[in-house]
Amino acid sequence: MASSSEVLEGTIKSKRPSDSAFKQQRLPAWQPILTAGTVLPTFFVIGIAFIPVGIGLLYFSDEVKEVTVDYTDCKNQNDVRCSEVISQNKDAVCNCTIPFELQQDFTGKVYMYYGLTNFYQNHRRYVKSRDDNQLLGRLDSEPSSDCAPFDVNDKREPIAPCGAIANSLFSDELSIEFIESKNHKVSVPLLKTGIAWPSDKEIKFRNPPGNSLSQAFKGYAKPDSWKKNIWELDPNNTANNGFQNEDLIVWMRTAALPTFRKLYRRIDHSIAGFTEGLPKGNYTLFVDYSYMVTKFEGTKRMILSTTSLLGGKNPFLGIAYIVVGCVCLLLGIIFLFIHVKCGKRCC
Amino acid sequence: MAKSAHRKAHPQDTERRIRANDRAYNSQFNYASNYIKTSKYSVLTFLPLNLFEQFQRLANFYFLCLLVLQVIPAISSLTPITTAVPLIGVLALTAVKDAYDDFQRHMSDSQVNNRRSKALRDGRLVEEKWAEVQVGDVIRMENDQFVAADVLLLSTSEPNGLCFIETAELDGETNLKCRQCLVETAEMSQDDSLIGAFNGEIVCETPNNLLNKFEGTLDWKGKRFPLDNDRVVLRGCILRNTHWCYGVVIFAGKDTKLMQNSGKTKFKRTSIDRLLNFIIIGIVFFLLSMCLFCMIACGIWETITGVNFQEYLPWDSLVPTEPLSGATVIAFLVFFSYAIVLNTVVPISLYVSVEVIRFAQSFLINWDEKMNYEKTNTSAKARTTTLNEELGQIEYIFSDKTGTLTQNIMTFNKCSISCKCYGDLIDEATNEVMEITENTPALDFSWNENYEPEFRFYDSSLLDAVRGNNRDVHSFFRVLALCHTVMPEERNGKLEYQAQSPDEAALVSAARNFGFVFKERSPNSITIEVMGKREVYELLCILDFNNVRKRMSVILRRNGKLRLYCKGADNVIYERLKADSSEVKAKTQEHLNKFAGEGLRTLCLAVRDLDEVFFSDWKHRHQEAALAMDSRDDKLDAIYEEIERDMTLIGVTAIEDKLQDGVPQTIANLALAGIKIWVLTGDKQETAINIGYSCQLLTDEMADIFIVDGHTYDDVEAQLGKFREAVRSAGLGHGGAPTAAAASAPTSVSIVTFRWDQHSESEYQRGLSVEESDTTGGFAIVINGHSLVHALHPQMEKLFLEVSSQCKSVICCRVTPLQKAMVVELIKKNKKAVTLAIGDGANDVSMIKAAHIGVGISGQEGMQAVLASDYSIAQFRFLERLLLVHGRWSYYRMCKFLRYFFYKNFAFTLCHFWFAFFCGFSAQTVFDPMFISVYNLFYTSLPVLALGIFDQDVSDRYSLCYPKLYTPGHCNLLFNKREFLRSALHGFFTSCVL
Repeated sequence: MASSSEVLEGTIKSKRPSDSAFKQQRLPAWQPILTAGTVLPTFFVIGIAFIPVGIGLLYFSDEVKEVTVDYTDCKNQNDVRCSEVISQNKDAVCNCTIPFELQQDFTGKVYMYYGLTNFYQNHRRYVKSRDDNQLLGRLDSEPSSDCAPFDVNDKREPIAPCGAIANSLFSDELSIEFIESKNHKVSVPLLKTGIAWPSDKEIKFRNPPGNSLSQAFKGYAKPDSWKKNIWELDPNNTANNGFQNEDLIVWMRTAALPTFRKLYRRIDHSIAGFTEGLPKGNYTLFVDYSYMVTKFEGTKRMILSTTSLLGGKNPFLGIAYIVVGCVCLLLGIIFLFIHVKCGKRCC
Repeated sequence: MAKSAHRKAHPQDTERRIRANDRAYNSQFNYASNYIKTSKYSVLTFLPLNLFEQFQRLANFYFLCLLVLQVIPAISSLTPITTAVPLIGVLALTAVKDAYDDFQRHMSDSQVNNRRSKALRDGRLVEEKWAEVQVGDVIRMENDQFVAADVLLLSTSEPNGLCFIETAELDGETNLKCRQCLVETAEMSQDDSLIGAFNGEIVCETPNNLLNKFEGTLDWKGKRFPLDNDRVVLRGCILRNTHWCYGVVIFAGKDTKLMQNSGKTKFKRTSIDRLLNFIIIGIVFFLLSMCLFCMIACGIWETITGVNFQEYLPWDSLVPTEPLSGATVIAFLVFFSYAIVLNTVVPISLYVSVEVIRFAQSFLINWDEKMNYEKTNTSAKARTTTLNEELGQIEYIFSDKTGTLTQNIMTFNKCSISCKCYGDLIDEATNEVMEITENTPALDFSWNENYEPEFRFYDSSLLDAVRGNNRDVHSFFRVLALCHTVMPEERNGKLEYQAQSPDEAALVSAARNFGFVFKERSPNSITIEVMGKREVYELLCILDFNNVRKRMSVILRRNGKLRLYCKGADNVIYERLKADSSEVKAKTQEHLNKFAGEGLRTLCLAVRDLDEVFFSDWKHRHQEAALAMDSRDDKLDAIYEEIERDMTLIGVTAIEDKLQDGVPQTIANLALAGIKIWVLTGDKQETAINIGYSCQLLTDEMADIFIVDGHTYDDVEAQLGKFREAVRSAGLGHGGAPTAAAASAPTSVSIVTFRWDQHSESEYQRGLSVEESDTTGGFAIVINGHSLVHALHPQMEKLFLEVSSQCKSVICCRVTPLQKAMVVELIKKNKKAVTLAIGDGANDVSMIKAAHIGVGISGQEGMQAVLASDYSIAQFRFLERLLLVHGRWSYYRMCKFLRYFFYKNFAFTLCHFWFAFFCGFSAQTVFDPMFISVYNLFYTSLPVLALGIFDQDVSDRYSLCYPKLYTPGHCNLLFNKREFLRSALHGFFTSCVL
């Protein structure tokens, strides 16, 4: 009897909506109401806060020193353009030198980049054309079909690393020489390691197992346009070979825009004379020219740059901050003016 | 035997023939058996059918197409898995839900099909499963059991072949209804062998879904009997207060009225839905044009740059090597690639999100504590979850009066008997009518053992007249006690009445308290107790009430005297009175007007003595008409007309119909919100006007109240034309927009409509800017049902609209349910406004179904209106909150949600478009493919949903205080094509910045 009446009561109660903040739509909410009293200070605060930040950013960006040398059309000792030489014969050797000057000392760490323009590393078919499984060291006699037509060579041998990206690996060899004086030239020491993302090197790229790399890659062909074998990419450092060669890793991380730069070398600051960075003066860039860009109207360039707290040279952020800050301040002042002048009148 | 000749032809087309206890005969027609199947799938057919059904939905089909495109490697810009995962997820979830639902249906089907019922087989009672019962079988039903099929009653345990049923499952009404079998068949009682030998042939209508109508005849023992709804018990009813009954199955299984009624209801869509569909088609075209642009650009890029880039990126082997054709092929493929990449711009997930939001909003409406009516413990209920935002755009409300504006609790208040008016309390000192208050002492009826303590009446002179054996007063109360369809019920030793309408209950209970107690009803007699003395009347005929006749009569015989007792609407009765006694008529008419002026519902009572010869002749023709298969109602009406004339007026009753709480405030507030309220009522003009005043629809400040009561087309046209002129001249006086409007003479229809649109807009602006305009009065129009017939004539529609849209309030009185729906349709069609109909009774159903939104009041008058409605509330005043708070919020949220949604999708997708310029139009994606696929599903669904469900711009209190906040909805201000473009451009800009 008691239970039935309880049930009855329960059903009656359940019909009545419960009084909770959620069900009655009384959840706490905050709704700013824009008045002169709240807007004006906001404008001023934003303006005052943003301008120093922008100035700081700009300062850091300006601290970064950078020099760019375009060597697309450089000529060899016979005064022939290297681009023409290699377009006639892909395997021809063409060397050229370009002098350039550092106007000021590059203090701190200096990095060397190569830059390409009009190179569509972001093209869909290009981006797709790789076999991540293979790059993890799991070689397969049939690379992923994504790699086509760079999956097998003419002799039906599987290519490792396969795909358009690996095939088009940047192959120019760059080095620089510091001309201390007319007779005293010092080649700048360059490091080939430490240029790829550690995560890439440790996780995404693994060499296949085997006693030596040349054995591990037995039965696999090098990409068609390569001149060296995969295990000979860095003759001086066996750990920097195979899929774990850092130049390859850097290249395999495709750029988002057709104009891009990629890290090529680090300056070795442990060598005497370069401990503080690159001293100002005259330099020569030596190019072992083998990479073809003129066909698609691309350009190549070498970039030397220092870094700051905030990375490379990028004045945009600083300028944006300053502009926003100034606009806010300006608007704040205008509104304040309007408020003081007309505010009372309309109310 | 001409009958048997065409029996072989397909009788199902127009009629149905059943021979009781003759399976062989019935089987030739292939009637549906009583096995029902509501489930859709079986184990085998589930997968294909369910998938087919799901892919009929646009969103799923779209995803499927995308998936197919993605599988093609040359095109695919995203891995197919990214689309497949969400698609399969959605499909699987839906499939599981469908499977569960279907499983439930299977369970309930088998439970229903396996219910036991007793059927007669060869004169013996056998337990049968419901599924085994067939048309023509005679089954036995017992108390408190469900009825297995639609059956024709043969005999019952109760005297006179009565049986009582509860039809809660059919129409939601819980009061008992009475059914009665033919007297002839009732004699068989429960003699199984007699009933087993019953071989009557039933001819009846084909299966339909009209619950309250049945036409048929029974041929038995060479005689024909008419069958109507009273003889039939429908499947789904529960037998009550009846020990057993027998019946022949007429309709079984899916042919039963219950199953026929469980069909689909008309699907209502909101204007935002329609706009959305339009926009989405627009977006699809936009997508295609973007793809086209990318395709062309890609072709150009490939011919200029791509060709030279082949050193590092050769073309696919299947692409021709020749530059131009190669580029064309690549471009062509890129078209599809971009279709995939940019697919997020077509917000397919939008529909799902919109559904979710509406669903949640409906719950919020259901949960709202402030719309809970404590007395009956009912809260508001959103019965459809698809119309919420339309609640925020209502421009016209069509309201029923009885039970909607008023409480529909009737109290017998006054009466007028032979020129004397009772009911007012006269102050003896001043001879003036006193105000009746809570403290006024009510008459003491405790001398009457059947009195009801709740009954209150204040005028002692009526009681004195009753006690003084005033003949007129006595016959007045006799009519009240006899002429009705109320069912008496003995409950806990107390007499209780079950009435179809509260008017009747009020009248019968008034008679009861005055000592004319209605005791008992049987099919052929009515027993009343007059001042403690029993009087038994032989019931010869009931002339039923309906909305057209607006009256009901009974023909009774007592002590050899035949008499017709009639009660009905005053105008109907007055037309049918004897020509003499004009003085009484005039005096009573005066009283009638007085009662109506007080907002009371009036009924006239009349009697007529009949002579035996005339009656038997009439009865004969009545029988014939009742047997007619086609247009039986019309024929019956004509027959009734013959006998209901030359009557003598007895008196007039006045019933008070109290206004519900808060109605005037609600109406005033809704009017401030710019909503026009039309009252459509079946009451007479005076009552309607009175109620109009008491609920502030009509006010004294109004410049003029037009009353249209012309009987002919020309009359009505002239009246409306005159009112138009009046409105115009008033408009000229006020200046402003109407001046311009009046200047341009209406030459054609299109100009007329345009003119008023303009005007209403300027009115809206005026309303916004100056509060004063509300007090300048305005016009009101009151139109009668018979005038409305002409006003709704296609040629006069425009004129009627023109005038009525100028009026602040419109009251239509004496309208039929059909007219109600027609008025709603008229506004819907011509004003392109969102309409809401609110009502509580069966007569409002047509209107509720016609309007964009139907609101049912879950009150006294049954559940039909609620069942047909989209929202149900307990009290009229909750409408204010439903519209001004929930409607506004829903609309506001939905619009904000849509803008947000389009914004985010545009902002997201157009990034790819911009990126195309940098990646050689190769359909390379900027974002991770997984991110693209689940962008709408996971990353951005919650913020927009939360916005759509919880966002409030102003609190509920303020939206009630400032009803003007409601007006943006009228003009679709918050979401239209312009707003859409704005949010799209906003997204465009954002993506540019990104």
